[in-house]
Amino acid sequence: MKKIILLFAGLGILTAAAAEIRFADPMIQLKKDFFAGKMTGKNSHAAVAGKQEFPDCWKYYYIASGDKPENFVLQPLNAISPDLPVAKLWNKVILAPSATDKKFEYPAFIDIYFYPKSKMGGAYSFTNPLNKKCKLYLEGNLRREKSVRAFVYIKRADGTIKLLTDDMDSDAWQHQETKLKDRTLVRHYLKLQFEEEFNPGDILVMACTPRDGKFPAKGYIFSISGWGAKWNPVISLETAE
Amino acid sequence: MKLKLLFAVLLGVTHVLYAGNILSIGKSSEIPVIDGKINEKCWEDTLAVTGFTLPGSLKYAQYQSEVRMFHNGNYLYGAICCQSPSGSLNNRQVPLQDNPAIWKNDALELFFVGKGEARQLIIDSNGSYFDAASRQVVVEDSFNTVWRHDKKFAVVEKFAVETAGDSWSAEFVIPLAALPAGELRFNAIRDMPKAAESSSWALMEAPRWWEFDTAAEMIFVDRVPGMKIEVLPQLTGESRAAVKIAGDAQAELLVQGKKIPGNISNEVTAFTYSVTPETGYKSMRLILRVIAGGKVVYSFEHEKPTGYVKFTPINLSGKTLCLNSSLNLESNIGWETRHNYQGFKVKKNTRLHFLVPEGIVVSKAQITGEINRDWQKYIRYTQDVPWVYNGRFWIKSFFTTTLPSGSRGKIYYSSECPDSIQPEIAIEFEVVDIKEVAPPEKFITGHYDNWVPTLQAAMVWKKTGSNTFPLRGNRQHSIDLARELKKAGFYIRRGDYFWPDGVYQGGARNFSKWAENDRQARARDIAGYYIANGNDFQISPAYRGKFYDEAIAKEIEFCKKAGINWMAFDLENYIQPRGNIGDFSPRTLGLFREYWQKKFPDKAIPDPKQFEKTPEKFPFEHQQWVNFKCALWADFFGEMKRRFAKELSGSEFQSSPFDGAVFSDWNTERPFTLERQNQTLRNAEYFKVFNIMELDAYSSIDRNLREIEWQFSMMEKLFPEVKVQWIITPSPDRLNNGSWGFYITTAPRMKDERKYLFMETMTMGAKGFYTWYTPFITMDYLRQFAEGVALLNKVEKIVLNGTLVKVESDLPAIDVEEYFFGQKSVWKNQKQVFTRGLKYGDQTLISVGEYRNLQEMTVEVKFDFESDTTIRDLETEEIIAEVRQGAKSFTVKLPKDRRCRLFLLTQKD
Repeated sequence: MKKIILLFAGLGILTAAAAEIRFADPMIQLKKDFFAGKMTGKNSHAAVAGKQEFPDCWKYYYIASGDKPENFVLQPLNAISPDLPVAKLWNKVILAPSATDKKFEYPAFIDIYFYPKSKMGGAYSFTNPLNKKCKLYLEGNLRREKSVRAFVYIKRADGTIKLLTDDMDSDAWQHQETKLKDRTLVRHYLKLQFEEEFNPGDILVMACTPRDGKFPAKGYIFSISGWGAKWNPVISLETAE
Repeated sequence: MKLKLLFAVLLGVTHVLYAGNILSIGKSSEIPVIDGKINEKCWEDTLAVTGFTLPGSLKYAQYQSEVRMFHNGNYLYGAICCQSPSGSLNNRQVPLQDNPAIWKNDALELFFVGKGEARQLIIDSNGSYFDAASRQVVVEDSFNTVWRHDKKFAVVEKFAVETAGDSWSAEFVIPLAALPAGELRFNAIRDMPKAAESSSWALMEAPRWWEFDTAAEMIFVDRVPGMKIEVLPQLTGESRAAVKIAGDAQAELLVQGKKIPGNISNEVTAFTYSVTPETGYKSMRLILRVIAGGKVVYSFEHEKPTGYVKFTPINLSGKTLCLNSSLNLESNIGWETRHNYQGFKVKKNTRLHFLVPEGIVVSKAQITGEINRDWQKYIRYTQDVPWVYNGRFWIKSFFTTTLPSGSRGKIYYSSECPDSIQPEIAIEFEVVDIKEVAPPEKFITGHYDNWVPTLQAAMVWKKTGSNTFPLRGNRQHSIDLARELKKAGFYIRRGDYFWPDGVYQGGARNFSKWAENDRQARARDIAGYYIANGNDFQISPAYRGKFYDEAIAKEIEFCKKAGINWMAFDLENYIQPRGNIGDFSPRTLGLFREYWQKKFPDKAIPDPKQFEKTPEKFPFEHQQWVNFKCALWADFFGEMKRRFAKELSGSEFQSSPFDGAVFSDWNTERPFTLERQNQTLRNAEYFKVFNIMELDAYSSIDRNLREIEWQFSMMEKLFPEVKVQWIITPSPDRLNNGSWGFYITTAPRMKDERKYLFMETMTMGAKGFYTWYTPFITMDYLRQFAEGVALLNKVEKIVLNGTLVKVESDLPAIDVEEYFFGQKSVWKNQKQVFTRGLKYGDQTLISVGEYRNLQEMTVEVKFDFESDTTIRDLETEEIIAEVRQGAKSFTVKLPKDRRCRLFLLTQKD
């Protein structure tokens, strides 16, 4: 059995178990590619495992229409030039529907924040990079704002949808309270713990839409990076040798 | 402002209060073309408002702005010029009409503030402007200001904006009559929220644009000299400034109150100067002035908050540094260092200066001078501290002395970093007499984290009575050291924070690697999800997989080579923080079915996933589920211990005074209720594996003794079948000084508090006294520790082998209000005086102590004398009484300075 583990977050480290290879935070890779100018006008970047690169493995979208995975219409969010002053000043990756959409009124990934004021939502996907039948483990926790409804699903090559989780189900998420001096900070996490077949052409999609039909004005968090390794989603791929 | 002044005076703030900028507006008859291009001569004959700084940090803004104004008697003419980030002006938007939201753009705001009212003009790079009046402005008290816009108010007569490259400029005209009458104040604010670089001309401690107490004084005069600041005056070591000034007016620069001579060439006055640090944490400040006709027509103040590094000693005895000469022991001060530079660790080449009397040596420091003070010669030592941290114990200073015991006096320290000097602070010192003492034979004495690197280092600790050392590391050095220490007669604990294969890195937290790398090792909640705890997965108590096997095997291999068999764990609640919500992993559920079938063969096996949804409705099943989980968790270590015991039971591996392989743990976690057991997964089964437990004593002796005795009684009551051997782990002093936090206490302090605790420990039936932890140890603590060991050596056999006997006092019970286990509460029916006794053969050791009243008192100690007995004070060896058989008590005096007394009762033949 051969295992390849793609770790969404945390450090790119080799673990004690020799069979497991961990990938660096895709956001780190996204930023690196973006500021290296590799991503201008693209909505994808590579996943990197050790020294091996899987090109165009991660893709970013906004949801143009639809309210569930079956009818979501995903449109690419392209990487805007890193020369954009805001990108330069804040050292943030800006993704927007087109190169001329540079304002936050449009969907855009900025580090871990996703600003979708005028659209239905956002999503990102992970494509099977091995081009062979394998088993996918999705584990960890996906941090999200309270007002967000998150879906995680696999879109098969034949177009069928396998919904893994919809966090309208109250058992699907948990919250963690951190007591501060004068208030309690509550973070919401969508629990991920799935074991699925993952065939060539399949994509794993993590998508979010407004929980009650309307996003808060200041944007919201749909994290793929964040608060410690175990809280973050981990993808493991296992193939029969 | 008045309020601020009052607070400043009350708090003794050394901050130099702000005197304020001055801006004169001259008169000119020339009328510029209002086209946004600042190319008319009349603008040159004005004073430049520039040198914008970021609020708070008071650093100069990266993108500077300049404002110039003059009047013609009827109108105020203004020009502004702003630098912007590269490319940010390429996509200008359509100008907005009279919209206050333009401050969110690249904009500049001008405030003209009079008595009770203000005028505001905002201009942005898109060519928008917004003008408004506010009629309820209180300059002295911004809290009472009602900042209400009168949007109908329109003052701008003419206006234009122009861009050129990465800068934009604007010109405007407003009637003078539109400005507030009387004395005027002025400030200019540059808005660049998107670039996070909003700045102001007059200094602001915080971005509160609506506060005007630091705004400039604005004066209308007939004429001002043309002035341009070519180099903004700096406050960074070797600094300079340059001002171009027309006519016979003069530029003047004052740095830290001292006038800097200028060098005039081609109308440019250049200043070069050096800014040197001063004592204290005052901000560095400069004033740039323009003098015309003998009057100050322009004044610009710039300030730089002083960078500082502050050293505060942490591990003193009270407020005293204790030194030692009798055993030539080296004392240390562990510093808490705080700095206000960016980052945690900063290279600042700081120097720590000490003034010490002759006879005291600061190790690892250079002698840099000597002075006479108070008719005494002091040597000046300087310790180089290249890196400074915001933290504790990163920096230490070491001291030795040849002064005789009992010497007292003061040492002084100060520190110097490139920007400031920490004022000198005095520390009392005392040379403490520590008498060398042999370590006990079998009673455990030592200190947590005392990772001695060599046998020689261990021999120094031996002088003060240590017989046990922890051991970490996996390499040959650790093996060799263990063998040397054992040969020299020391006991060795593997770890102090042991976890198989986790001693060197990660310590007990190393368990998380198991759960991280093996799904079978993760506990699951009732819905089947892994239980995460912060950054770790909670470990399944049923796990006996790959990592479990490998780590234990690796550890056994090391211990075999090193010849040790005592594993000292520190299993705090982070190991099993939420045992109550797990473990519903398939293996655990399978084992539960086996457990139930074996225990209740006639009963149907219930499903924990069902009954644990509403455990209150299934008390029997819930109880069994908790018992099962506790047994499973105990077996997690029990199986581990069996493997260690199998391989490490020979005498060649013996590294403790206890028999066979030993597992010890710190802190009981008080599993005295079912739900507490459910959460911690501890019950009697756990204490059968960890039959050596440590109990902390980090608060006052009074609080800790009551807590310890309560825990002993609960263990006796709930788990009578378990015989736990106790080791008391005191801190060298009350943690947090006992004044706040979890270890807060209401009990008064005593000089010999830790010695009394040692003495009390001797009659508890405890098997050791092991300090937590070495960095906090002071010479005064070591004195108490050594004195305790000296007493113990006289009666070690009784302490280790004696059985508890009934000893009481005649004093009535009291109610004690304390922070028991950190929570303030009243414990009723508490002892006034702690009395305890241990009997071994014909001798009985009795302790009598009182730690709350501290007044001299006489106590009648109740004890059944079975034969004629001699009572001896263990400390003084004095016979205090000869008692006849059948007597029921004896009298004890507790003086103010001996709050605990030990008595050795010896039966006569």
